[in-house]
Amino acid sequence: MEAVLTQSSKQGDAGEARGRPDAASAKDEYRQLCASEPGIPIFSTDWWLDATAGVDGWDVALVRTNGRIIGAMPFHTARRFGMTVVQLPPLTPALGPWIRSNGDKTSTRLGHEQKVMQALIEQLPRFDHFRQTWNKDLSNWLPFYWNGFDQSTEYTYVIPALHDLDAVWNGFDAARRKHCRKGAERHQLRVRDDLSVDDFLVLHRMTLASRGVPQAFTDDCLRRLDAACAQRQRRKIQIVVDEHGRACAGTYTVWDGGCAYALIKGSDPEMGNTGAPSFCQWEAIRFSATMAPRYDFVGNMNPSIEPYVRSFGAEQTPLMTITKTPSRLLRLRQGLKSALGATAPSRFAEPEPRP
Amino acid sequence: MTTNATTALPIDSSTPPLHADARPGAPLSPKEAYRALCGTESAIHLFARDWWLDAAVGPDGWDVAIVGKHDRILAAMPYVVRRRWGMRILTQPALTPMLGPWLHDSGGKPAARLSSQKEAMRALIDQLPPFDHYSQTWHPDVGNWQPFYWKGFRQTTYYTYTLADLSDPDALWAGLDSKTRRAIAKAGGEHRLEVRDDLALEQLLELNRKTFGRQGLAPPYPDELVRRLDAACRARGCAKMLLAVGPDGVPQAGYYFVWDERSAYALISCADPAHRSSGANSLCLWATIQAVGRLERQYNFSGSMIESIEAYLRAFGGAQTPYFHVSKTRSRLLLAREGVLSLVGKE
Repeated sequence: MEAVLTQSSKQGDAGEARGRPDAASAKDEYRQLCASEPGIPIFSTDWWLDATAGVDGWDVALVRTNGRIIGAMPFHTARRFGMTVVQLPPLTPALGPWIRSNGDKTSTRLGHEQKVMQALIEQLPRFDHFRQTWNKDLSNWLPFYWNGFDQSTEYTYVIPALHDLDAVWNGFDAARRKHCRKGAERHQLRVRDDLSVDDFLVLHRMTLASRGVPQAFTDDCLRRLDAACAQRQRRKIQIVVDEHGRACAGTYTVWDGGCAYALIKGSDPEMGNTGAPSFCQWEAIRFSATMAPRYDFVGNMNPSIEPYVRSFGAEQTPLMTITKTPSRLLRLRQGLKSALGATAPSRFAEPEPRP
Repeated sequence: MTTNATTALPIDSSTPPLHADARPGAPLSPKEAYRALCGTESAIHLFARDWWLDAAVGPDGWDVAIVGKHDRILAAMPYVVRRRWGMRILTQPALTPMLGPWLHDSGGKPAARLSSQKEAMRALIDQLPPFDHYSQTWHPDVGNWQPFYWKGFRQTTYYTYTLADLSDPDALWAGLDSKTRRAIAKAGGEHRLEVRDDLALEQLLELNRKTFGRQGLAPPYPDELVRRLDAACRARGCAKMLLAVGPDGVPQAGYYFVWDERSAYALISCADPAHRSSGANSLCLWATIQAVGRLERQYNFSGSMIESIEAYLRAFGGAQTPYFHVSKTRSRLLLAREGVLSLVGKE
């Protein structure tokens, strides 16, 4: 690993040893990388993290060889009850290490990945608790295992081949297709894309209220993110209105070159029987097909999600959640768990969808 | 999909499978039904077959949860019951790399499969006898553990390496790391090692004891278990042992592998640390891969999560293949013990 420049080699003191000037330059370098490297997932980009974690709320571990960045791992650090917790920022379903592909044969590539991951781990700051859900294209956590992290598999749901929309439509359950058609025809539903994030928030709050679920992000956080995405043309707000112009359901979609994501949804429970949520979902998928090859429902392990997304023909797709609670804190583990909520949702709480 | 579309066998579900041994005139017990299934269903992997479990823990040492519909078994999950400190533990035998659920492939769209998997897994879990702790590793083909999550189980991902296509020896050779190729060439050349398949099992066992002995350890399974599994596999013609022998006739490394209709699996790998630099282990593993290729099976290296072994196996060009470890601890006492162990770093 000599070729790989790491500013500090011992885990734990890396945060301090790195020092502010280097840390600042690492982040600046990462900003440049994000601007030039389309393979970095949208949730890992500097501007996304600025909006969701705050400009000072995130940092990044970098691994370079010959002055070129070959690995990067952004992370968001929060203080909770006097402890340092590395976790996902609000509105951010996944992060994880990015490793520049070296195009070698399998065994060499894996060995390379593992070396880079090891160097990234060594650069993580000292923390009391670490929890990150990784984006779905990452499937190897071995170096984290060797460094005392734990892993568990969760699932999201993905429509894989958006280029063939007829096949996507035919992959829906018959009942779901009927819902979509019924909505469009009987209630003269139409989709608007000229409404604001605040119009969308009204619908989202209705959903939360009807389920008794608290909002997992502040309005300002979503507004900041919305401005950042809008500026880069990386989001679409679609709101379905009925024949009277009343808003029934909305989807908030973001995308990068690899995938579109159903980041947030909302609907007016009173308009649920119009088929508007299904129609809106279909419209979001149709739009996403013009932007990305895949559509990710950003599902979680909630049992009610699976039948809903299944009806859209989405495929169960594994994601890894990586955790570590260093020993100093293990004595307080149970207390921490209950303090953070026993289930410690790895991704922001999306309300349960209604069939 | 309705929940009553799938009904659990036996009809008399008040009989816990654990005690459902054959009674004269009674309908087939789950175990008897499962034994019949193992005779016809090649998709049940080797380590889940009734005869493997018989050899590993004895005919009374294991049982099985089964889920069926119209007298047809749609899902099964064999398990070994162990008692420790008065607690009942559902697990898998020693020297058995995986067990876990087998699900009939319903075919159809992914969404339909997902739905039938969910129903089958739920019904399997309901068939398990009361337990304090469950711990099994699953076959790599079973990639959905969500129904177990909903029932309070936990999961983590391990990796093995697999070679899916062994039909072209040249491609396999090209897939090896160059260091490994050199080690193999040197073992057969300079070190004049020879791979033999005609030696006695006792020689492998002796080498295995040596392998562990040099680290101050005893093998984590008794020789007698290996002998029983060997006898059962030999009777079915699904095991082979290769030993790399030095010019002095002494074995330096050995591989014992077993297979079912689809895949061969590494079961025992041993190497005398005194001859570490001879390349005996690489030579022996290469001979194993070639032999598996002649069997027209895939090869599963059975590991490893251990850093040094992982690097060694990776050099043979296999694909990193995830598989699941699934567990559940019901006993508060065991939970407390796990907590204490993780506190002192012995998790």
